Amino acid sequence: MMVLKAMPVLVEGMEIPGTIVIDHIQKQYNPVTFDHTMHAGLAGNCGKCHHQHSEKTISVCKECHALNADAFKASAKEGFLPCSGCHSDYSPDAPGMPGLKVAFHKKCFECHVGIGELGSSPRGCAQTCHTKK
Amino acid sequence: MYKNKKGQPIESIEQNPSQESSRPSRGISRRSFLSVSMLTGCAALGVPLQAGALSEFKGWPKSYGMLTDFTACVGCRSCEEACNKANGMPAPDKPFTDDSVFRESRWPSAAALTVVNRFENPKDKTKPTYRKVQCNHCLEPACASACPIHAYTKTPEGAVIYNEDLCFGCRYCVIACPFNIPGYSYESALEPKIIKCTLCHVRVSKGQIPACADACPAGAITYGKREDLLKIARKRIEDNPDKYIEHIYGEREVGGTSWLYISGVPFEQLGFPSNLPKKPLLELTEGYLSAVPVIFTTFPAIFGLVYSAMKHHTKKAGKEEEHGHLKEDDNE
Repeated sequence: MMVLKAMPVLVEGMEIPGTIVIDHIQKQYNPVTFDHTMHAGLAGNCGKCHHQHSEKTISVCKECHALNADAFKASAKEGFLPCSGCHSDYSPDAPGMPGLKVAFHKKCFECHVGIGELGSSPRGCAQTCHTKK
Repeated sequence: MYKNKKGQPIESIEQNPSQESSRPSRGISRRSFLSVSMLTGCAALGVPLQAGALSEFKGWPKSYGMLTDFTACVGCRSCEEACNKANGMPAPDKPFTDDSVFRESRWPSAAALTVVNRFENPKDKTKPTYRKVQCNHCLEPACASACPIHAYTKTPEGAVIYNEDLCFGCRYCVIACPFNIPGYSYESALEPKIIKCTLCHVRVSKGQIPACADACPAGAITYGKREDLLKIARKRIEDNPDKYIEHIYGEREVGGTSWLYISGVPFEQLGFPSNLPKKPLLELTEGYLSAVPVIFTTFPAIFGLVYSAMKHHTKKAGKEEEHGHLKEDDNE
């Protein structure tokens, strides 16, 4: 089970997690500390990663929002969902929906491939995030 | 229950009902193989198979497969490591974090069911392309059709699996495979063994997904129904025409394979055979293969007879010659 430790900060009046510690594979690697504020600043747009509305993958509102006025309002107020809000364990019956691990890494690789040895050597994984215990 | 040579049960075979009902409880002996060959040979003499008489087979409906997207792979070798562990294979000489293995081209063998090779990316020299190689699990596998003892099975789930208890080590499958995949273990001459990817048939039968797909962090290996994977592959190519070449490798090659690939680099540049026919190899070889049992059974008998007749003749001639010499000696 994934454990996220998030420290909230205020950015333009919106409370977002400052740093997120991802430590669900701490048997193999040291926990990964993800600087969420820094990455949010670099991305410039929350929807770049929290793509629940910005990509074509979800086309029907009711897939996430119940068609009941109160429930719809409540869910709409939630704003940007964490990756785990939609992505969980991979199921072969829904191969178009990446599992949580792939969802995380795909976002990382969009920018990090080519930085250091990531993408040219397996050592790149340890250099970038996964320091060995 | 099926047992392997160490006496451990083989779940994958037992869970296949078609095999369970029709196969004996222990591996077939060499003697019973010969008697089966003899019968098959006789049957083949009487009713020869006709090439091209097969109906078109588009694969088991709803069968599963894999989609490898080479544009997503980052060469982390997690798939190789997961495969090694899932199959209980010995650890390699170099650790999986070692990238020096990329300096040479590697191929699956008895020591590794899958390997990743690095290729130059002509579009972007800073981002190499990686190619994962393993058995492609053909819809109509040439290895299975070449195997005289039916040690191979194409399961309805998609995997091409192999039963080492039946194998007698002829290695026809090694020669028949258009992708040069089955590896031969030379560890024991008496207990032959072919080693290749099983699409993690045992894991899948337990409700898990294949180890490599489970381990891949990049989303480069996707396990799912082959028909869904084809749709995903088509959509990715359609949405990103600059990123991908317009070819789903395995969709039609040799009649289709359960393992599919999409790439940003032409497949022939990644070492994929590009000259394969679109129809199953079985259709090209079955005429010849139907003659194999006949040759196996009748040729030894014919040549044996010819040999004994010749030997008998030589002995007789030799005796006559000896007699002649003796008579000459007497005359002296």
